[in-house]
Amino acid sequence: MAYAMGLFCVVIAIVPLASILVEVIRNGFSTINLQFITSLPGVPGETVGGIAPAIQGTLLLIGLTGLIGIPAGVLAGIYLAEFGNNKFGRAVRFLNDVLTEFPSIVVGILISVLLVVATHQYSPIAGAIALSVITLPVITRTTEESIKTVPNSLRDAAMALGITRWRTTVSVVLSTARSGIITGVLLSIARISGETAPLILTILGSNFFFSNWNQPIDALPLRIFHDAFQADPFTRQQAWGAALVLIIIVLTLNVGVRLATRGRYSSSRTRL
Amino acid sequence: MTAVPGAIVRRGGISRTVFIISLVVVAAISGVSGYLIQGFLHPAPPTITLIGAGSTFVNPIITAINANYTKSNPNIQINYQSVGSGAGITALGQRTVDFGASDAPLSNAQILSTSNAITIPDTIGAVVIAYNIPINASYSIHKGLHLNVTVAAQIFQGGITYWDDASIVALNRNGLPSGVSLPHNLITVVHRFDSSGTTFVFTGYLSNSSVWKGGQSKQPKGTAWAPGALAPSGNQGVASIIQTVSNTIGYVELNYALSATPPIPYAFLWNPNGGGSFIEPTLSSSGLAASSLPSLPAGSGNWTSINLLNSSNPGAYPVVTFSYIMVYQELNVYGSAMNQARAQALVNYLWFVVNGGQDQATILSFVALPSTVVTNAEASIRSITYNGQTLHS
Amino acid sequence: MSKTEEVITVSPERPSLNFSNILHKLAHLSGDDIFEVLSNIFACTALVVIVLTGIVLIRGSLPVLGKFGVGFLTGVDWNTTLGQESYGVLPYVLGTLVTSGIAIGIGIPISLGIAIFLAEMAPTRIRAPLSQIVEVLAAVPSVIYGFWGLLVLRPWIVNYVEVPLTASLGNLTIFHGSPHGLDLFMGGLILAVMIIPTVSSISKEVMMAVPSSQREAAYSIGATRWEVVRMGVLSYSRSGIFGAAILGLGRAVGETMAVTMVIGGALGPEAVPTSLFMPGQTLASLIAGQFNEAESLQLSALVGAGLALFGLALLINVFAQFMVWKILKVKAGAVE
Repeated sequence: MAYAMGLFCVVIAIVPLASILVEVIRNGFSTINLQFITSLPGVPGETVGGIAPAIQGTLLLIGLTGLIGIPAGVLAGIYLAEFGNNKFGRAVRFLNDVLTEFPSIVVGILISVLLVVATHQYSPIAGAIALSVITLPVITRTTEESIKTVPNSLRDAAMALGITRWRTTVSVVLSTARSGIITGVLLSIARISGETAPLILTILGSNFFFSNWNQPIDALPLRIFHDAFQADPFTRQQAWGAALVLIIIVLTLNVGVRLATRGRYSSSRTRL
Repeated sequence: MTAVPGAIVRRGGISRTVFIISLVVVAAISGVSGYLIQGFLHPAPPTITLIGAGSTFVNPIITAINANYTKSNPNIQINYQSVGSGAGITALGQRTVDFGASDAPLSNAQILSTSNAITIPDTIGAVVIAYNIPINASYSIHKGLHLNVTVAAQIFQGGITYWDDASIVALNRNGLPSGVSLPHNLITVVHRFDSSGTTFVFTGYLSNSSVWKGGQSKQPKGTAWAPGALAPSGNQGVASIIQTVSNTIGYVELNYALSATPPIPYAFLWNPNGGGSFIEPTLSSSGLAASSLPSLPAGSGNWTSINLLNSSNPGAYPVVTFSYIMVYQELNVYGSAMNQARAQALVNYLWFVVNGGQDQATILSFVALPSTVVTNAEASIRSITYNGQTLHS
Repeated sequence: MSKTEEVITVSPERPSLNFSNILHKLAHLSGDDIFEVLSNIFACTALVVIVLTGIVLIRGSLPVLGKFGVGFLTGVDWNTTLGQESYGVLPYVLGTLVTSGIAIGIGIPISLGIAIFLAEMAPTRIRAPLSQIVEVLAAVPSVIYGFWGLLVLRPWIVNYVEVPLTASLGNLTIFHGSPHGLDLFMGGLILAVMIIPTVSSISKEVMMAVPSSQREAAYSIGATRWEVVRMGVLSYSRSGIFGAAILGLGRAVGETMAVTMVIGGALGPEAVPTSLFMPGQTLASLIAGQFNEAESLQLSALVGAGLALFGLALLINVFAQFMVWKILKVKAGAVE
């Protein structure tokens, strides 16, 4: 009886996921073709158009965020793992976890006030910085955890060979922990590619490709949000197609990472 | 110890191949490829992108005009973000956009704060009262519900809560097919959540009735509307909600109601002139409202008293309005974000909007600007300067 | 014979700090020092961001707090018209709490059920795949949740939940309103679906971390399967599960997009939650909807709303972090 109830709960959790996947695939599948992925959005009322700028924008944001967030997060994680066994380290760890649960709209306000209003520009850089703030604590945490699993014997062996501490960390420890770090990075990327709220306040949106670091750009979640409320059926179809593309990106990263690290870790990757 | 000394025991984990593959994947999905894709598809990217934001009311026609303009001027593209009139004017004030679009003229306070912004009319359109009234599975009330301003005000304010209220029935005795009567369902009002020029125009119309307590505003306070009202953002949001949720009533620009699939039904509104009749919102009844124009101020002047509501022409639809583009008269306010080429492109684009761009209007159910309005707009565009020089003769 | 190890200290005598020594030190900075300083700097990023956020939010809300004082937190009006401005965030704080409360009320029992099932009852073969599937739910972006909720879940809930409830119990205040599905209830429901993967996976880990001695002890006194779970596992992991629930609450409070798309968009006194089936508004959806169009005092009011949201989320999450950290820190390698 308890077994049945427990199973029922699991089914209740899985049904929405199945429903989302089924609906997105069912509605979005017919929309996706080469034209969809490579053309600019059309004029309302016409039936031509695509979401290419949104795809490019999402890729651009991922790249920029990675450039800013990955080194910062990895270095911070290294600090916590290697040098962080003191009060300062504990404080940093705690603050990092607090940062993880920041409402994303508050991050949007922060960057909007500091960057967008101050420089009179919506820009991909503002968007990327906002996403970096969201992703940094996650990468820090997963890096720290991965590094902690590297056995001390490795560090000792390196020291015994006369390798300096920082080289040990970079060459030996990082490469041993790399699968955990990469897992964390890829999962963060998957998460930020779906973030919308900070983007509304920092990149505005665009119907064109990226042309200039000081101009608004488009992004997949933003386009889905804008197109979802259209009464014009063609545009709403575009939203389904964009949703499918986004889900493909996100799930490929997530499922791929899980498959690649199957058995390596007990499910501690998850709560992003 | 049973392990072979010197061997590093690795407990599974990803192989070198997978590591390399994942690096490639990450690089492949990074902005590098995004950049390259653009380079591949558009080897000569446009050199100038103008940014505009604002009214969702004019979005259909502005995007059509923009597409047309870029076709004949491929090196100039216009990124228009339809975020609502209020957001457009705010963006203009913050100088994050080259032009703003709003169906509501600049208020007295805004004229002061966005000093040297000028107002250029770009089109004329109608606001319709759209609704979703299901009778049964196979029939809903098609276009043609008869309403007047007082009943409309009462509905939107919450004084009338059922479709079969006596006041609504009284207006519709002859309008419905025989055997069909208005259902006893609760009405759900749909209004705009965001700061909206369309709301400004519609509440201006409702203010004609002494019943309406909400005043005229881009964003009336919450108590102006009926309890339980829904409030999406944008004309498209309102249209989409009315289309999906039964027993709703709201206000949208005509094109949004017409271009939905199926078209969203809208009301015929009472025009008391010339004996009085219920007027259907169409291109021609909107055009009649624009046939007797008030005298327009200069671009830099105060447009708060200009409106096309409740025209005295007997065939005119009562809720018709100008929509405006606001730009800075002196483009130097943008500092380093502006240069000669962009300033020239902006002025050329605006000139096109009020001239060649008007070809797009009729087919989208907007009224093309009458020649007197075009003259006024052209004078305003001629006054735009950069580095002390005008840009269009 | 005991061996005493000689500890060879390698640190030299501390040299006196004067200018030439400092120069000498700088000139001979080892890679280790640079590395440590660099990583130290980046570790402080979290601190910098949090402090910056506090500063920006407080500075931004000073105008509206100065004008309305505590009335900003307790007021219910939202009037943006110049000259008649009045801002109060109470309805949206309540809206946030109500939707999050619904999310917790529906989501926690289901998450517990999943966690118990996966930790205690599932055969090992299906435990891992099922856990993975549930966790993949956490990866779906919130805008897609909103989109799906709007177009797929809403009609279903309207037909099978809201219309019957309104028909039978519609005179109860809590079920007032037209059952069209764009309301507080829908917002809470979407949030529930979104927090289930998080809460269930943490709870499952907490339960799996309970030492088997606990379970064995319960079995040894003759407990049934369910009683073993109740006595041996649940009571031991109580704090951890509580922490997981609070963490889920924190996430629900901060969620923006999915809620914005289904909550209906109420403003002003209308937004004070009175019924599950009336449109509502949360702090996050208010900010997302109006931020781009706001100027001067309204902008300050929205930043103030952001401050309220920030404070709320901070409160909840500090509490959660403390509880979960306290419980799990004893287990090496275990994670919150």
